[in-house]
Amino acid sequence: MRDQPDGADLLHIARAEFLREVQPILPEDLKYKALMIANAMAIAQRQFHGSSEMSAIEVRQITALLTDTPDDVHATLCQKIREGIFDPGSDNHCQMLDVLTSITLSRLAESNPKFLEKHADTLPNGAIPT
Amino acid sequence: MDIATQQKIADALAARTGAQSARVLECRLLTGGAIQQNWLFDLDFTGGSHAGRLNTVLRTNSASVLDVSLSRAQEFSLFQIAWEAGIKVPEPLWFLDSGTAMERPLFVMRRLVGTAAGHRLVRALPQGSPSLARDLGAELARIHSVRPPVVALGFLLEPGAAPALDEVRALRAALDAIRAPQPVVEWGIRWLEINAPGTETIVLCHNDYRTGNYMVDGEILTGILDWEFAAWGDPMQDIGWFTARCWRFGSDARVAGGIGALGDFMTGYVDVSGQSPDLANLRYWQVMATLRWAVIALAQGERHLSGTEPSLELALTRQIVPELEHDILTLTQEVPHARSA
Repeated sequence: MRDQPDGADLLHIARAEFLREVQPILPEDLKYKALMIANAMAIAQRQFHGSSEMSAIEVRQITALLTDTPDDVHATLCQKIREGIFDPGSDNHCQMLDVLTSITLSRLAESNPKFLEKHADTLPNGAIPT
Repeated sequence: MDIATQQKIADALAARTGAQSARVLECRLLTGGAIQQNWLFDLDFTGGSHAGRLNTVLRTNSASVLDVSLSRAQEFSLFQIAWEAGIKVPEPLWFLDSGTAMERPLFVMRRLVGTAAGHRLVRALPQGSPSLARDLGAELARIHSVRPPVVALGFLLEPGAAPALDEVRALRAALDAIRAPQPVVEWGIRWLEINAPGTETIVLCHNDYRTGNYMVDGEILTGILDWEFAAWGDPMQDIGWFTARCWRFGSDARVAGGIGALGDFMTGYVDVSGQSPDLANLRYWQVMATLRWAVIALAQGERHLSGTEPSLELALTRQIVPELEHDILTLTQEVPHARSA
């Protein structure tokens, strides 16, 4: 196990000090750029938590709906969607929609949790993942 | 842009206008878009057809150019057609081909008054602006009044019989160039394929008609910018793009570009065109818009990832894809369904 503070801690404190002490004194034309930098750091920070676990869950969910277990689960899934295997009326249409929704909610939790809070009730299984 | 290049351009323009000389008063980058650069380029001509001060915008290519967009020469032709049709665009002044003053081709247009920045505009109008929404609808109808064939627009591809399915094919081709598979985007494109509506009328589509791509002074529309994606197509494609949630800049309740109500926008449109396109297909074209933006955002992320153009802006654009996927899943739900698992 790594010594503390680790990468996640360093990123957290670096972002906090950057926003508190550096961003406010920047000239106007650099302030937006500074917010972009802080946003990128926030996304990276969130990705430190549980990203490998998330993709394992995702692969398991997708594999459960495919008839075989291919090497590249995502590519095979895309091919089957393109072929219409999961079109409305097909056996696994609703289950696939649930899986895709769950993937999207997980990604949003990392990329933009505020968006997720604002729009949480509009998806079929609109629960915010914990 | 170095001073020698600036002066070479000024000299070329002086020659075009019959001026004895032209002096560069100010030159600075306004927006370095992913595809084009816009430079503020103010000149002082001695003699000639434009004697005195002339405030312009110089438009040229960025380092990397997407092959889906029009060339600067073609865009200049479009500006000329639009200007002559009475559409609000910056007055196109001169085109300089590559090698004339710069390695890249460029054109110069008269600078408009106002601001284009989408976030700033939507924030500055907390109550929205019904009059601006109407004017934007009216202006779009003027663009859509240009119908094929137009000899000067011969470089635009002939319209196909089914524009929606042509778009589906183009989206798939673009998606196949992205290295990581994208199941939700794939799901959305399949939905577009099986739900494609027919198109009755083919018109000139701007194809990037959205808040952020027009200039506004107060609440007055001064001009439509960024014509590099224009093509013949279904008028609903522009309406879907303008009204898609992703182009409302956080003001989601104001469907017309974060600026006003759909009703105001369409009132302006119908005032000019005399008839409304079939809004029953609005959701379809909003899905199309969302997918188009998702595929562009993925492609921008690829440009960063490829190492040829490392850029925080490109990398962050890729991060908005989950929001677009959320919209795709929301809009393509046939009926709210019970969670099956």
